[in-house]
Amino acid sequence: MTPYSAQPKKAFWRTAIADAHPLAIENLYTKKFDLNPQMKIATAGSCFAQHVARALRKGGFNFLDIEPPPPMLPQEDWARFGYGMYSARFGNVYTVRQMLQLFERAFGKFVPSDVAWQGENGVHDPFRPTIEPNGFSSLAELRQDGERHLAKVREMFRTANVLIFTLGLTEAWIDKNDGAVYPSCPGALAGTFDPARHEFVNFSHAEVYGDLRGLIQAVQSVNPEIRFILTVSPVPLTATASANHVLVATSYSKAVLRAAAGQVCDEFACVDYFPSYEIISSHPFRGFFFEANMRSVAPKGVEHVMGHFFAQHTAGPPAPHETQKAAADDDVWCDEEKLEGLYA
Amino acid sequence: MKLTLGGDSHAQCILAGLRRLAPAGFEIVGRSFGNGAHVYDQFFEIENGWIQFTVPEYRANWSRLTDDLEALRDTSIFLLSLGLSSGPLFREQMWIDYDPPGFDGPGEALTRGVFQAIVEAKTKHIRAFYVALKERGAALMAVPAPPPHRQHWSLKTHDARKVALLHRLFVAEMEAFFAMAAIPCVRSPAEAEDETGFLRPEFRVGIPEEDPHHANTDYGELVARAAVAQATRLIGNTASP
Repeated sequence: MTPYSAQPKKAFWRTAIADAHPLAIENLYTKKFDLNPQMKIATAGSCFAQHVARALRKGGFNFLDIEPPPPMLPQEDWARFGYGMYSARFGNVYTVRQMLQLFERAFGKFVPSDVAWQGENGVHDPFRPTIEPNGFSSLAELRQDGERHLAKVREMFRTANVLIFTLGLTEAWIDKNDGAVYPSCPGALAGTFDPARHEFVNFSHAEVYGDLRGLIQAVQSVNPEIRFILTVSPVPLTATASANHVLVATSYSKAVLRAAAGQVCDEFACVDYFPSYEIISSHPFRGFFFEANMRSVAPKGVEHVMGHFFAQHTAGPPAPHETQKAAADDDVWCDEEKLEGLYA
Repeated sequence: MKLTLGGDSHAQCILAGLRRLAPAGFEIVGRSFGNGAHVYDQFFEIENGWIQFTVPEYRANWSRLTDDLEALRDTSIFLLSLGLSSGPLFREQMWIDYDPPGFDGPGEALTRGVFQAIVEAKTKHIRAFYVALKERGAALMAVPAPPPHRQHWSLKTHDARKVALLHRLFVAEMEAFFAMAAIPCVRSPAEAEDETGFLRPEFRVGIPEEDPHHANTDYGELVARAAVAQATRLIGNTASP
């Protein structure tokens, strides 16, 4: 007898993977705690988190949308204005540091010095550069909307029962003045790149791990009962600002995020890890779930991933309008993809 | 010179105003398409290159617009009362909880961009109709609908200042569209509005209380004067070498 003798089938590669059809691989996820349909579930993170939010809505869970679209705004305009993508109108949150700073900004613990980028048609929020496609009509409007938005973010952190956070990238651009993390490179979507002010960073495991712990503890300080489900986005980098090949840079980024998420999950009873990264990206799945560009996740991939999630967490039938919402908006809004157009 | 007038139900008071004004040198013809509520959905289609109403009421009132477009060839200006009535926007229930941009209130403040998207979506078929007419050579001029009046039922639930602001912002958005599309637009006469932006009571005299939208022929005459003046300038300019 060895410790392996008592291990289940899923612990052995041959029985769990080699002998199984990829679509029949099972028991990839075992929940750490229960979700129920009454729980308010908040979502945030990189583009892939939008799929999670939509699947939760479809799956009959109580998706917390604390900054919903105004009733007269047609659904086809929601994503363009950052509505309905996540639990509040914060747009894509690609790095853990950005998420931690979002919390700190909402609770007045951090006030970035970079407040606005003047564009051709309006003023852009450096931390939500595409939330208004043409920019805000004035600095005053940006400030007013920013204050209102951060109040909603406070409410989200205080009232959510569960936060599902999808970790996307380790690469980011920061303001050298105060370390403020931008969601995208200044100048790529709005603003102007200034090498004297803007600096590239590629967060290490220690930094991501520290930020994740800091985020969990900070949110718990205002909402002690909250639970977290961490995922790592399977979507590769659109572009790297490092010296590495984009494939190597992606591998580094995902490895760091995966390791940090796993470590935090092991350390906190209130944190679960859902393996969407493994289900989409691991080689036993042979890239089935990617589109032809081997980057975008196909709808069948999302469905397969969420099938594993819903095998562990079941809710009631969705409200009919939620089914319509989810069915009508198959595309995700991904700021990072705009980098693709920058290759000259 | 011939002025042809068409459009929503506000066209009726303007047509009456034009006939009362009876401007020298102008032949006045026209009629309303019918109830303006239809223009917020698909209300026309392009069939073999011609514009065709899909709303039976509009078809009945204007026969086939194809024929009428033929008739418009000898029309100096086609006055169109469409797309400047703010009632369908400001009477919406959402304004109880939401504030338009620039409004200092307790509601959820909309940004200018979101407000513009709402107006564009609300009026997309109207805009498409103007563009389709213009592309087919009609000499268009948009004519205004009256501003909200103080007895409008929505003021029981909506802040009056908010309603007035919604009207101004809506009209500004539509005027911006007309400017972009190079379609002349007659502004609602300033003398018809009180200092808060509402229709002066004298322009509601004779209108049944249960009618929430319309102004009387006196208002129509004010619009008619402005339209004739603008049309005269426009025709003069067009005629210039």
